Amino acid sequence: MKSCLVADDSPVVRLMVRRLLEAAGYHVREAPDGAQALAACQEDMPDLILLDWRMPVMNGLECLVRLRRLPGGAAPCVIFCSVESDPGMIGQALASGANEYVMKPFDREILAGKLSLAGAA
Amino acid sequence: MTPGELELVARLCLMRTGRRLDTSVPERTAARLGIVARREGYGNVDDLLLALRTSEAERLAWPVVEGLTAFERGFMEDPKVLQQVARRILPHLAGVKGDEPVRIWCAAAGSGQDPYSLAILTQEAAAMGGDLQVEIYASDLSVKGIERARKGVFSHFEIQKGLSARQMIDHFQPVEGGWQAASSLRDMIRWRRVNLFSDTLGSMRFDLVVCRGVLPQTATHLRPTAVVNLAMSLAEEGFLVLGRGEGEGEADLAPALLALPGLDAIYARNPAFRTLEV
Repeated sequence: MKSCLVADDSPVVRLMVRRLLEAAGYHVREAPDGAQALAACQEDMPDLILLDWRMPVMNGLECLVRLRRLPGGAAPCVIFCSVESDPGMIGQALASGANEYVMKPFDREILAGKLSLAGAA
Repeated sequence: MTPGELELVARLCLMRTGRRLDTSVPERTAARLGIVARREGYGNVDDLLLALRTSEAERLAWPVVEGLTAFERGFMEDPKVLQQVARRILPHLAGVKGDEPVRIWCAAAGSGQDPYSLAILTQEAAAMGGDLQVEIYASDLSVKGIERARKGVFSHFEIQKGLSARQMIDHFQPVEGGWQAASSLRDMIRWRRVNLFSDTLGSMRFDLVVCRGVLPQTATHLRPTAVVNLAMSLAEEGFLVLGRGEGEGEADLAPALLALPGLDAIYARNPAFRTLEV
């Protein structure tokens, strides 16, 4: 079974995304901030990471940069999920190693499409 | 909606456009009519239908038909087919055309996702060094749909369906109410209202015609006409792109069009096809 880590400080968003991904066949873990997400990756690298931008302790961008430097950190497919819709920020996320970017709010169809585009469907 | 009301609007769509309205989910038809009712100044669908049956029948006919037959599409739909178009068909046509632009027609273009997708693929090919000049013509039945598509503004949800984030930020910019296609993209597309069953694009012939979603909705007795009209619009060495699976087992495609081995949903004009013989 493919594994996914959902990193978002909103329990509601984590629950919604968990349901969508479990329906898509993923085993899902959760993290409420970037630091805990990074720790979870060091413990067991997931196949897919859905990463919020604005989180306490460590934001998503810093988490992504650090993740990509970890042993095996280049492997996971990372999809940013954020309310940020500034093209400059989206470009920064992609340049920092994100495979795709989803703007919140989104629905099942959009997430499925992004998983497909990122090769994680 | 009552069965009689559903039959009324379905018959209207068939008469005006040749398309069969799928009324299997009455709630969906009612929701679409609700949008038309608000736009036309009626309090609810019942009031709209009453006016359609009586005093305002002629004025309301087209707004109702347009509202019920509009296509809802995403960008880059059938990505495999579009990749075949971008990697095989367009380079081939560019070679055939030499210095002349490849002329493309997107029929029944709805909100514009198909023509904008083709424009993006063309720009991406050019950015990678491909020498590809195109002229894109797009048409739809709906005047309102064309007005909207010409502006190239897509909602937060629409813009995220089918486009990668890279394509989104490279070819669109955020505006009030959504994301707007860059002017370089909008300038590539010329819009026109065309009813596939009663209008033509004159003597224009196209190297590539994209017409997805129309044939499955077309009344059976009108399909041969639709196919002939599409084939007539193709240049001698032109290609037609249908939606995935739309041409399979479709006897109406012969003798005008030939399936191409190894290419999904892409058909060539039969060199032996002469419209006068049909």
